[in-house]
Amino acid sequence: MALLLAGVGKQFNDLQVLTDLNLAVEEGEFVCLVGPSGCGKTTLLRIIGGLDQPWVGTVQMDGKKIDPAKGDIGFVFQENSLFPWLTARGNIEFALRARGFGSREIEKRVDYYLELVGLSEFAGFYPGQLSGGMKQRVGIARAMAYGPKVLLMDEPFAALDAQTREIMQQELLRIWSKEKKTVVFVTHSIEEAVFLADRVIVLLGHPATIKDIVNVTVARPRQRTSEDFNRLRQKILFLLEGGS
Amino acid sequence: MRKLQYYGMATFSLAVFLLIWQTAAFSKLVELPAPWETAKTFFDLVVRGDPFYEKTLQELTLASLKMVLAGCCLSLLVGLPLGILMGSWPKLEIFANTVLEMLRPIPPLAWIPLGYVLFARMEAPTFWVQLLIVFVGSFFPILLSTVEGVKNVEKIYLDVARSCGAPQRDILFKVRLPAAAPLIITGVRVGLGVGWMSIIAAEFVGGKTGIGYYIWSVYNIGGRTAEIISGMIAIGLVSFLLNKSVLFLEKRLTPWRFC
Repeated sequence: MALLLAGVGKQFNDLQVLTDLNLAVEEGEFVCLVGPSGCGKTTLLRIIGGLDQPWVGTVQMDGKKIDPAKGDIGFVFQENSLFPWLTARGNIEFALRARGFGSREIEKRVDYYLELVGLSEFAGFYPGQLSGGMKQRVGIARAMAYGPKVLLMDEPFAALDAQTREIMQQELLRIWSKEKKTVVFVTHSIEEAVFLADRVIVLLGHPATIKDIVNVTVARPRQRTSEDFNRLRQKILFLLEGGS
Repeated sequence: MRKLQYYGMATFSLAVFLLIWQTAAFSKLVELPAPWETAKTFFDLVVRGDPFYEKTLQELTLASLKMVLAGCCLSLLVGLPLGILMGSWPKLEIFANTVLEMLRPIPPLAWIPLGYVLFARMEAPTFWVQLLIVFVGSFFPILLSTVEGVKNVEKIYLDVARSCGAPQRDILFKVRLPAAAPLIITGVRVGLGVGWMSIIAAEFVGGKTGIGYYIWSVYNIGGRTAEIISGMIAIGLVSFLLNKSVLFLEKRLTPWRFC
């Protein structure tokens, strides 16, 4: 079990936002968290990543507490999370330096991950010179470069236009199948969840908890227009609207 | 055509200004040398210098400029580290601000008399007073902008740094500081401006160097208005150039903002 959540809850002042969340994610699995906006998806992701405190319950990776200071997780943020003062290369280097890699290893890894996300030619560009999709590619490369076991992604494609978004989804799947990372991906798009995930975790309620877990049995590569794809979309939509 | 219009308008504006000046000088309502006369004096001062002082206008101006640069360097040397510490350590910010906010409303020039008292036993009190005045003038803009910049870094950058396990040192020097750089540079630009104004006034009061001293001394002799105006022009030019140099440096130091 790569990732284990037991009895996770979170309170903001007097407001209970998350309660009694239990989830086990297999190594190399791709899970999507869906739920209405404001339900606490992002908060849950930040708890897993160790970015939000305090909270109750247990979050473990391979039986140990998650510590971002040890490079346990890679986090991909919504948008404009690249340091504008560093080039694409510099942004990836930052993460590797922070993790204490040697300079030769850093260069090797930066080259590899830039290539992986298809941005080798844009290594020297500043974020201000990159398109939205390119920026998110760099963000993914930065989060993966130091080799975290789990990739946490917080609506990384939400701000992109529909076409770029679909390309990025395909790219992400290509990278995922190559790198074999465990991915927890937050989205409010059911279509995105069904396209990407092995399992879709449906969060619902006030405070939010796991309402249901849907196995996406559609074979990869998935066709967004196929019948079983849309049947699953319908099912999740039904769950989100409060059906059971 | 647009560009031509712009230059046309600019020339027109300049012509109107000179015409008003010329009229005022010609009318003898005020004691004022004509533009042409002033220009002649200006170039004389640049090329030959003032025989009574044995210095050219550039030499006089350069002396003041050196003081400003020295004072601003001192401000940067103190203000930058202190600002970084204050911006990242709230307790220190409260501690330091209690006194600093008390001192900040006091104009730099108000420090001149106290300065002469404090440095009375030094070999060259005027030098130290002028350094103090420029320091007081330029220190606060530099300090405040550093504190603000370091403190108010966008939260997402800190999240990114923490998510990949960056140590505190990296967060300070590789995230907070570069994020604050644009604001710090603006602080330096403002600081230099205030410092430059302060030095001129400080030179009016004491000492025997600088363009401020020259203008004041020439005024006391009397009847040399063209020299006074020439000095003023030099002051304005330096102000303009200081501003431009920082803007130039800004492009070098924060290239990501200009691409």
